[in-house]
Amino acid sequence: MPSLVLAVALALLPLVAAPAFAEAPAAARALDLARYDFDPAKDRAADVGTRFLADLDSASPALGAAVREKSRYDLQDEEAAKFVRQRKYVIAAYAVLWMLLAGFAMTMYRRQTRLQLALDQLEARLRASSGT
Amino acid sequence: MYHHRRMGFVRAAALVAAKDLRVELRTREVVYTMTFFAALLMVLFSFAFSQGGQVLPEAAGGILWAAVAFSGTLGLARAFEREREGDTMRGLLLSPADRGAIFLGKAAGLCVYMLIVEAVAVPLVAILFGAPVLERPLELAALLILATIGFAVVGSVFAAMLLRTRSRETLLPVILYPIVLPALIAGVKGTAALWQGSRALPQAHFWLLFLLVFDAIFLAVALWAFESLVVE
Amino acid sequence: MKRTIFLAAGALAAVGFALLPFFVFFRAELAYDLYFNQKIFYYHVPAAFMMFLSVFICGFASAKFLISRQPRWDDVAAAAGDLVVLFGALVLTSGPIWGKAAWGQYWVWDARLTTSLLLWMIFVAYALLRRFGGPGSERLAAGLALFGTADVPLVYFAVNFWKTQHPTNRVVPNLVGEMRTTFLIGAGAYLCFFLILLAARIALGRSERRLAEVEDLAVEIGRLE
Repeated sequence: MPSLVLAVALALLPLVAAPAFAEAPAAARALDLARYDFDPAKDRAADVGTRFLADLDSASPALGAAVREKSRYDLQDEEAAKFVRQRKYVIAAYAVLWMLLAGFAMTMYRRQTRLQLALDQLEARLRASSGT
Repeated sequence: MYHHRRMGFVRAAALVAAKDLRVELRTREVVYTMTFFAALLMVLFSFAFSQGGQVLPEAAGGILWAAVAFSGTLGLARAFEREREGDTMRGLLLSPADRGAIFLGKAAGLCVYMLIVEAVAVPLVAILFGAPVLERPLELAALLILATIGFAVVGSVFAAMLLRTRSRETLLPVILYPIVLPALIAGVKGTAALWQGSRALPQAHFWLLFLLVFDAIFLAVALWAFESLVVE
Repeated sequence: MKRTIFLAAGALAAVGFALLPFFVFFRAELAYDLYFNQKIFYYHVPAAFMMFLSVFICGFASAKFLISRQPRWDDVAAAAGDLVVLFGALVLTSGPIWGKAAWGQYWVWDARLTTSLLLWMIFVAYALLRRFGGPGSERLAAGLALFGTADVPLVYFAVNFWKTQHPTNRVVPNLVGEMRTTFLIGAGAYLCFFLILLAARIALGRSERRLAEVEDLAVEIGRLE
């Protein structure tokens, strides 16, 4: 009797294990570098990476997560460095913009003051000439 | 009995141009100084662009056009200064001739001066910088003539307007160059394309067409605006 | 009425410029690859729009002045010409700083940069002419503005085939999400600010001209010598 159970179990085994075997070729593919050839006409550089990570996840989710974690750290370092470097350009650009605008406002203000002065002078002269 | 007849447009323009050329033929002042100045500029530029005693072939076209532009301004200023000295511009403008015709006549006179200078400058570029000027003589001549017309048209408008202005000597080049710069770019790029050999010929033709458009636009604007621009 | 519009534009510009930094730094997404330096965009591009707007206002007003000979059109042209120089200066300073951050160099002889530079130079010449031309130079300046405006498409075509690094016109219509909102706020604030500056500058020029006219009149009728 036990042998019958064993026989049935052995017969069912391929059915149970079929999904697992179906996964196996993907894991094998992860090493098949030809699959990740970069063809600029067909895909962007990131597409190749997406393909690789999908294969890696299906082969070993833990490994996939580890790779993601590592690239996240790299990205953070890189972007932090970029930010520190680029912040000063943004600040410089904004400073120059506002300085130019302020300079223009200053010249307008000065012209306005001069105009007011000339107007006052004219008024005074006209009064003086009408007084005599 | 007076038979008052408005002079023909073309005839009036031709008369003004002929008058300018006759004055010039007596003294040859403008053409001599312009030509010498152009040659002088070429020698000066050869220092800027020479490497180990050889001038880069790409620079030859640029040198030619810079010499044409600078000497053109010299001639332009002088041609109109003459009218100011004798106060003859007023006389011209008071004459019954169309103002557009007067303007065209002045521009045509200037064109002739500049073409004479170019007739000397082009062989000089060939001799001094080894430029292959005989490669495509017709296209080169067309480029030079079209750019000269554009320069003379724009230049005559501004020089005529500036006649009454105090600081005309400094203002003329300052306002003239930014406006004619597209024509000069076309000249430089077109010449470079011509001297590169036959594979760049379509580019040279593009620049010829561009100059044609430039001339057409500015001739139209100048004829339209000259009437109201010249204060008298 | 004019006053109301003026004040409304002022209020809108003030609100817009107050909101803009918040949107620029906290709401707009970081741009792919360009990252933080892309934030210059929200000030650089509207300034360029205003510059071109100002060029066309100046050209139009100059043509009107030459036809009608009414000095009020000359006031408009003078004001717009000044604003071309101002906004051109904004574009041509923020641009190279961004260029340094994004491309590694301040200036490249690229189609768009060259076009803007040449255009700006025409209007610097215009400002010089206005300042040093002396009496009677209004019409000359109008002629220069007219020729300058006619030059815009030519300059563009003359340099357009040069190798280009600068992003094209397609960037702005294709903005999405918060970037789009931020850009629209920036453009709106700039437009209101531009209109105020233009109106203020026109009023200033007109007052100066009227003052001179009144002085002449006073001399003429013998109230002043």
